[in-house]
Amino acid sequence: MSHDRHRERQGVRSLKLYIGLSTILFYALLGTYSMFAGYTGSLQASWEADALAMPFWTAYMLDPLTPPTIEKRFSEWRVVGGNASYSIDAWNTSYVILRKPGSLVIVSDALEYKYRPARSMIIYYNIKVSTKDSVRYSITVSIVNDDVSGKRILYRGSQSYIEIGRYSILRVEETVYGGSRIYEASIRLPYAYLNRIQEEYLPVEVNPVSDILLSQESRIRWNINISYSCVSSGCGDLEILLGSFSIKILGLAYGIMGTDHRGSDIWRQFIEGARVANLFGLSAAAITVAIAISIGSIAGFRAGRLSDQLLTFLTDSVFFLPAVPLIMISTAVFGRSMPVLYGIIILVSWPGLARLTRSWAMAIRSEPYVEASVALGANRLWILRRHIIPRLAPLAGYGMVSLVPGVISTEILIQFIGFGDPNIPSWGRMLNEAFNEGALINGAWWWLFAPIAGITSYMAGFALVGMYIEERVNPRLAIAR
Amino acid sequence: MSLAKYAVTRALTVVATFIFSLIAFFFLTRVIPSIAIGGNPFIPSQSLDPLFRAVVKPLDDPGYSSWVSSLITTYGLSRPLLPDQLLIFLKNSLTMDFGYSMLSMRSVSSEILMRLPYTLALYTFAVIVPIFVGYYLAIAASKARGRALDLFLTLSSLSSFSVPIWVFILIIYYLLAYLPKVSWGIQIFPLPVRAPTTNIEGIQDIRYWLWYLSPLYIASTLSLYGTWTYFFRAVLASEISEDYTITARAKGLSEWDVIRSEVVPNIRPPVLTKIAYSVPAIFGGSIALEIVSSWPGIAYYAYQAIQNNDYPVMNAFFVVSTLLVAVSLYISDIAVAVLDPRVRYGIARYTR
Repeated sequence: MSHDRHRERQGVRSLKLYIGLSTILFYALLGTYSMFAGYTGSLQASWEADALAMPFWTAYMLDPLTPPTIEKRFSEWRVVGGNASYSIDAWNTSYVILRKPGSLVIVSDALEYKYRPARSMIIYYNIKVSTKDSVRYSITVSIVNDDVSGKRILYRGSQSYIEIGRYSILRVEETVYGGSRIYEASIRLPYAYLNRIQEEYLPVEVNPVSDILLSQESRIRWNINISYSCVSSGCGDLEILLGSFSIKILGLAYGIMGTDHRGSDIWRQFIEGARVANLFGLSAAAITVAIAISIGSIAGFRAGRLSDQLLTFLTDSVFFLPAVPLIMISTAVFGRSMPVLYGIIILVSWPGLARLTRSWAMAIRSEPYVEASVALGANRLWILRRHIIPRLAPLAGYGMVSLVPGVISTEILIQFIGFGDPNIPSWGRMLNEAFNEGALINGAWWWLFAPIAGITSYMAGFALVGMYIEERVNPRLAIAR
Repeated sequence: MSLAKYAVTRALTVVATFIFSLIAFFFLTRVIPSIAIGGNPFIPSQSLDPLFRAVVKPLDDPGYSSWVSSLITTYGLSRPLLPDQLLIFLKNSLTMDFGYSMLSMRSVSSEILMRLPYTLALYTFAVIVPIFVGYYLAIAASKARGRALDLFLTLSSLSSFSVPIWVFILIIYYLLAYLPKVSWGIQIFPLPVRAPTTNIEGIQDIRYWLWYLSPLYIASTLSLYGTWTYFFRAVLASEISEDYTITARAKGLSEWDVIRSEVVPNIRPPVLTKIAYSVPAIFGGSIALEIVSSWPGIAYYAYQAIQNNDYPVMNAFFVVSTLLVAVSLYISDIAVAVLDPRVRYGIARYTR
């Protein structure tokens, strides 16, 4: 073998180590970041984007017309119609006073909308009506889109006409004897109750946002229709204060990894999953390695004795304990919690490494210096501690690297088939939700992709480091020769 | 030690392992929970026993009472937990008598027996076929040492064993079942929405059965061949540079003949041992496959049972899966002993 080839082989080998270690480090940093980023409640709706919003970069590449999240506050108002005499403050147009009975139509400034219709929006309105006299008034608050007004054929199984461009949010008709009233609400559209109100206008069930209000290259605005009349003779002003009005169109393109069926950010779940995988995977693997090394070294040191036979029997029996059924049944008994899951994973995953440790310890035991210590009358425990366990340190490192993927994959499997902790966002739980809540049916590939990418690259990182160690121990495995 | 004697000795060990697993299971799911809520396992305290608490609910209904009393007799629920119920559980497990399901009120053993072929169809394939695939790929890689094919096979086996089975099945469902259906209207594989039923009538059902099963077969092969390729390649690499292969080549054998007739007989025992020791993990993976694809095997049955707290079925599921793993272990043990007689005399021991 020439020198160059030898160096080349070293290069391939170290490349494996570097890629593997940097992957592990990447996820460790990601998990640490999630701890300090204050990401909590990643399993609730974020209200920052619609459900099943695709990642912004794919939206940018595939379909630039996918709507992002748009939020606008409306503060400029003008009067466009009506027969009542009124006065409006020139600097603060949200303050309108109706001087005489009659009606008035006030509209806000417009939100320019350039994208494909979004599916949902959150609207907020706040109107204060005050008067000193006894009046009877009616107020209609609606969102209108002047650019798409008219009628349109809509196909919902059967074709039918709907009136589009106007969606009424509030309709009140009241008689007051002085004083003030505030009408305010924060509503997410589509909203089942409001849809029922609109039934007289809507012959079929439609989505008010995408079917009625939004259209590409159009402007939507608030429209407030006020009319009032006097209950008794001689009534005066009706003051209208249009407080804060806002529209938040929930986008269909959001974040690095999009959103899931609740509208919660998948990226947050992803990095919290990285944290869970790191934290529980590494700690469980460390405990498992400790158990395996101690049992394996005792069995190897006492090879052939009764204690070795008992420990070997225990190791073999636990090895063939079917872990997944055991965990599934235990969750039914103990409840679905992370400590139980990890307890059982640790309980069943030590035997493989213990067997390996036993054969190493047997080899070390028959080396001359150990035999010399035995001949000198050294304590068994002392020999174990001073001579055997330090020599097993590389094995512990290898065990760590080979056990973490096993522990993580068992945990993810259990989470995936729905027996994991319901309160902890892990990659398995993400997969479970993606599979059961319709990622396939809705074509939400990003929702499936995120946990799969996490699991695969995390495991591959450990597998690469494991391969590196195996090739270091057994150089004949290396690719170039 | 003759082969028959060795077989009997191993059988005794396997039965001991089996009984150990059952005792561990009993302690984990019955004794520890009962102690955890303040019970004493040595005195009969039905209110603290999780199994009895699951049973007691239908007891209020007079229609169920005779069935519940039969369940109480089968499991010995009126006796103390530790010596009596444990022994009854062991006896029931060894005779495969699990009483009646709390859900369907049919005999659990007959339901398990009905579903066992479905699990075996998946499990045996997932164990056996990837081994052959990995074996031939590893031979191809060994013949192409250091070339592009070797690198490609090593990388593909790396990606294969870093992706678990149940991730592969999701990817296959997305790429081969959902996407072609939506994009071009072609149904290559069925989505897991209409699983085959447990009664088969005619060739039509068998064809649907195989069609439904094929994504699972592909997923298990893709996910498991990597481990075997890597492992076979490692074993071949250490064996192929031994002196006897040089002799064989000097005799004029081709590289393929050297591997097949000289090297492979030598690597069979460690390979079989490795197979035996990878069986529990493969079984876990096939459980996930069954649940994901609603395949009507015992794991899917147990999945439904656990969600409904159906204790007899859970017990039966654990016992049967332990039995499957133990039988696989026993078969490979005997096969190793047949191939390598030194094992019978305790001279050779394969640890991997």
